[in-house]
Amino acid sequence: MTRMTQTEILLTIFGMFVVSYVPRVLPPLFLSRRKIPKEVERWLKFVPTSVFGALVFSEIFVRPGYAFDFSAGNISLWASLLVMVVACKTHSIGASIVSGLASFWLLEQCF
Amino acid sequence: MCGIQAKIDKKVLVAALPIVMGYLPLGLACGVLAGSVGLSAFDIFLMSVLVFAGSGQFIALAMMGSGAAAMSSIILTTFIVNLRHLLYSSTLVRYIGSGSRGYQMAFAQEIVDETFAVNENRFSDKRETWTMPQALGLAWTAHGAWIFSTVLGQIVGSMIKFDINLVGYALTAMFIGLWSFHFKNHRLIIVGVFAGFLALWLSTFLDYKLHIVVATVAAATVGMLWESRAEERGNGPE
Repeated sequence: MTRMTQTEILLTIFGMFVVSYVPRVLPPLFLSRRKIPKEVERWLKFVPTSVFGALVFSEIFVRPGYAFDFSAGNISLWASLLVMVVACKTHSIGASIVSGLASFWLLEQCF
Repeated sequence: MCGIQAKIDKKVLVAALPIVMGYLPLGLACGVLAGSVGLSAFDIFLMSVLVFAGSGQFIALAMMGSGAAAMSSIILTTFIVNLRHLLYSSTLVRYIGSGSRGYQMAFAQEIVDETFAVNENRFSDKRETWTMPQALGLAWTAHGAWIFSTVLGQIVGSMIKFDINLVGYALTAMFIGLWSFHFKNHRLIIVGVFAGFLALWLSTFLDYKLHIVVATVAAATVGMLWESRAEERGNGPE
């Protein structure tokens, strides 16, 4: 296995910085000056729920190597159902995380 | 660089706590990985300051470790993995659009899944005020925790052993909590669940988190069209 040289590492990090910063900074530079159109505003309203839906489903069901786990032994699934109930009842991120970690850990001990 | 105001008060620290708690173990793991593929403490410090992207850094480090990956392919992968920040940034513009140019450029650097989620949630909560300096203060607190934990991970290296699955689940639980805050009407719930199934299907042929971006864009478009049509029929936004 050949490792990167120090120069290559620094160049890679700088390149990563450029490609990460540009998408982050473009919207404020170009959207903020004018009024956002109504349709775009409406589209943006659905972005957060869509992102979280996509992230949460992927975290629960997709395993490394892009295999699915739809089995009853999927610990994340059972813990997540509980977290969803806790989150909707308490509206607290802290309670969601604590209940999630506790149930995940307990399920890990059982399976 | 005038007009970059950040404020870290009690409210900010309370809001940042779940992120910091999630970042400590995750950052430690990231730092351990960095050390194992040959990065110095300074290298990972620089990467965490400049790039600040959990999954982006993990994937880049894994590629560096494989030895075969060229610099250009690591950079291209980072670009694709972090493309979703464009969506977050576009969403947050409405809240930070009145800030100075310097503030907006500083704020942009701090946009990741977690800071977006919490800031968006705080800004959209009509019951309590959330100011731009507080939003940047929260982001800097999170970023600071990330830098600290990744560097610490590189230094203490393989001395620590922890349950990586359990650690990873902390952030999943946080995402579920933040997601549930958006369940304000039936359209928002159905579109979110639709995005979830769409992401699963897309993941069978799209790599590097691109399925998250494509699923989000498609589902948000469906939501927009749905609400537009409902409004034409006289059942506008709820």
